Amino acid sequence: MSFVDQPSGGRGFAFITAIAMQCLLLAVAASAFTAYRASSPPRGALPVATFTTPATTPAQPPPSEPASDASKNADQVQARQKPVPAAPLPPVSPGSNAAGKSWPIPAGKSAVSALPENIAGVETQLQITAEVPAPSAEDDLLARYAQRLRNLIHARRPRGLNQEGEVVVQFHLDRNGALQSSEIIRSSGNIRLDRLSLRMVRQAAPFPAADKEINDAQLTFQLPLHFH
Amino acid sequence: MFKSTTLLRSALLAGCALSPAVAFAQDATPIAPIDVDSDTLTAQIMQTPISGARINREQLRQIQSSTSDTGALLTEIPGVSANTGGGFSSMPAIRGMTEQRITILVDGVPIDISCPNDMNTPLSYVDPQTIDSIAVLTGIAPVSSGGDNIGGVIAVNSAPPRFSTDGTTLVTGRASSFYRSNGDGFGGGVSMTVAGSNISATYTGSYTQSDQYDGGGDDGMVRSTEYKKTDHALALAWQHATGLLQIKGGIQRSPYEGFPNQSMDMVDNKSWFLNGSYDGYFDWGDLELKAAYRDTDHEMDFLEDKQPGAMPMLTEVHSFDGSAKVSLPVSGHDTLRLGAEYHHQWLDDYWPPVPGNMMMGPGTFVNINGGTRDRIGAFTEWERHWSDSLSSIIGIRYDRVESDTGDVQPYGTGMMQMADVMAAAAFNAADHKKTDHNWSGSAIFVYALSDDAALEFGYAHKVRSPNLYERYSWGRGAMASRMIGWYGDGNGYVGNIDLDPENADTFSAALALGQTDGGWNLRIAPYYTHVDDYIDAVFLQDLTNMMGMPSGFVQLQFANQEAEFYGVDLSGAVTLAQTQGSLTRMTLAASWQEGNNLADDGPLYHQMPFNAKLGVTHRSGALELNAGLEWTAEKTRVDATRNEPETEDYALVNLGAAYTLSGIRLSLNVENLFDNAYDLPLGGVSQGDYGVTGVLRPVPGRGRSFNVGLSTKF
Ligand SMILES: [Cu+2]
Repeated sequence: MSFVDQPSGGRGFAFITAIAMQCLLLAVAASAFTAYRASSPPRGALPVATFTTPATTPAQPPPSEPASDASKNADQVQARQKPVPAAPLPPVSPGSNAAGKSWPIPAGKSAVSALPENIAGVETQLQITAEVPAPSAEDDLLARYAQRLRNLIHARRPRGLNQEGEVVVQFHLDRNGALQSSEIIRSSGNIRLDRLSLRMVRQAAPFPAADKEINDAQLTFQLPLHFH
Repeated sequence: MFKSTTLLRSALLAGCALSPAVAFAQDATPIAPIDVDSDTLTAQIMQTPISGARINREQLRQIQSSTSDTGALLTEIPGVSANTGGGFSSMPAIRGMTEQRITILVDGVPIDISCPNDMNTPLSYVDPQTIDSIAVLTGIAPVSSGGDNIGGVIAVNSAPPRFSTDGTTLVTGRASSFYRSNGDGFGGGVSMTVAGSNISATYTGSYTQSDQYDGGGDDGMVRSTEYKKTDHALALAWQHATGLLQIKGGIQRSPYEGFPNQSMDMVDNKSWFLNGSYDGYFDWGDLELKAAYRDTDHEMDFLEDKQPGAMPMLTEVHSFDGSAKVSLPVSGHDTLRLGAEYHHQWLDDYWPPVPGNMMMGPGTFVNINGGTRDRIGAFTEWERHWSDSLSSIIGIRYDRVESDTGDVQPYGTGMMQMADVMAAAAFNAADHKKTDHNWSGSAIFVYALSDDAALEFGYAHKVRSPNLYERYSWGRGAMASRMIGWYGDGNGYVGNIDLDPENADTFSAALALGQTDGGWNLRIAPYYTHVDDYIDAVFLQDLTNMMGMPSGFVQLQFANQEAEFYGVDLSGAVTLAQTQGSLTRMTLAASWQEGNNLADDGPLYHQMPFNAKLGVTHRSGALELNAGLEWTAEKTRVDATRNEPETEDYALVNLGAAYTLSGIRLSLNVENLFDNAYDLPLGGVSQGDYGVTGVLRPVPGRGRSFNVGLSTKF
């Protein structure tokens, strides 16, 4: 009799379980991959903004708009890294939630709101990103709205990650503050940080409605996140 | 493995081709950047930031030339001590709890005991040269960090996969080698990564060998301390739309490793593993799936110092580990974690006959016949950040542990084998199957009193089931029982089928003052643990030698008793001088700890006496200098049941210098500068020397050694 040669039961069971688990892993990966093909741009590529047109927004950039040039676009992303808002902002303490605070409404808003909503909005915003003009009442309002969004997104930050990286998220809202689209326009190279950045934005939504002086075309935002 | 990689590769290429780069730029409103930092202690609560410790690659680089023993290098951390095993197989203990009672994870996977002497410990499968980081939770470990333990957690991790961020192929890596004069040890390690934006492949390999080392002063050669081993591993990672898929496989081969405090030596160890994991990051939360398989073939016999003679002993183990965990950020303040784990261990332990030997023949001694230990666990844990200054984690878990084994047999049925013949008959007549239902819970709070002071407090109730050797070792002959046990005390151990799981209640507190990176900091961490059904050993009989004379060793049987542990860990650092480009710091670490067997009112076995380490480091440009003084008090609290020897106090001085020139770091260390003779408090008795000299002494520590190290990154 042999006491020694009896491992087949245990070995066989463990082996089959191992194979089953590996198959499961592959299946999950494959299904995730389908999502990959359907949506996001390839990581590591140049920062390209994909434009999503919300159904409710009539604003469209003119087709001759030269911003589709990739290199120019890259420069713009660089420029946007600097905090642009010209109006002084209240300091953000970590964890503070600005949603409940009220914001003073600048004077002269009725004059601004009289502007046509389409082309004018796009042009105004181009000015902001290109040469940082003197603050107008409308810019001030927009900056404050952006700050509110920032606070809400900040409240959703993950904790204790211990990973480093830079991510830029772009997202678009409708007038009611509902999230229309969100995507990574600059990847950290680390899928976890990229995905957590998107999650922060998506979990913070829906956002408060935008003031009606703010143009639809201005409701696309770019948010850099520094993980460290 | 290769086939699936090819599949992944082609699938990825197809994916790239299909996703159109619709570049239609849109001007967007900028939002001021958000900092997501992990700096605050409250944010780090999962890592128990005050009582826990982390050794990173930079710190490992400074000590990797001094030791190939990962368990031993962890003793840098207050509260961690190491029971001596082989040259790369120390068994770490946290706050007096030995390796069997704590959780040790290598890349997130536990590694099962695969030897009646625990020679191939989990940390024997890693090399200090190729480890990326080691996280040690000395205090309360959250239940999500593992079940079936009553102590802390040691988690060894390889580097997370790296990917190219600029579209080119990333090629990066590091290499190192060392030489140690004491024992003529040398070795090397390589790690190399080739990666694109989405696929990354990393090879790591290491080699190390050493002859017997010399003790300090007049201690002479410490026999049975030689070793040699090689590790290779290949890791593939693929990051895609929602997460990260990783597969890692590796092999280890050790042709020999001496054990100074065991009757046996390891004469061969072969182990291979395959780990797979998927980490998905979705809008609803994180998903983590893991599967791991390991196969180990272990063989013991006598190396040169214990010859002449032969007595082959073989152990085979197959382990499967699988888990699924989700982490749900249910609000900006709350995270809910749920998890399920399955672990399977199969173990065969048998000793082939020695031809012509009356005692060890004519048949095979079957020590454990297809033993299995299956664990199913589930946990739920709630992490809440009440404010920026208060965080908590509360969790509960259940583990069902079922163990069983087949019938056994002694070498033969001769008169001299009667003790084993009767024991085998009794063992085979008994029911072997045991099922334990283990409930554990943990609660941890971190409270920041100010920018310069924080408090950590925790309580845990944890349960561990006996391992296969504790339950199913059955031999009652002197020789057979002396083959069992990882205590290094020369005594014989008999298993106990009726053992109950150990139940521990631990209170742990920790206070942090100052800033970790600031001018000074100090950490003080007291704790108390009470263990019900602590698995200790009780006296069966005195053992005799071949002539029937008392051998000085005893035969013990595993038994549930009651125990307590208490102590204080202390660590701190202060900046002595800082100028542009140079930094001088002084560090201090100390631990005081006691363990008592409340059933016999004596001290527990192998509890580290008070010890303190004082170090000064100076860094100026490419030059690093360090000096260290460590002092260990005498060990007078000894376990009378095991005839544990007392040890004297000792002080050691170590010096080191390193210089980095064009990316290559050259280091020179002098360990035990004054070549002091000392006995290791947790070294056990030197059986390697005993066989040759006839004198039984505690295992001496290493004498002076000059260690040279070279390392580079590319
Ligand atoms: Cu062994």
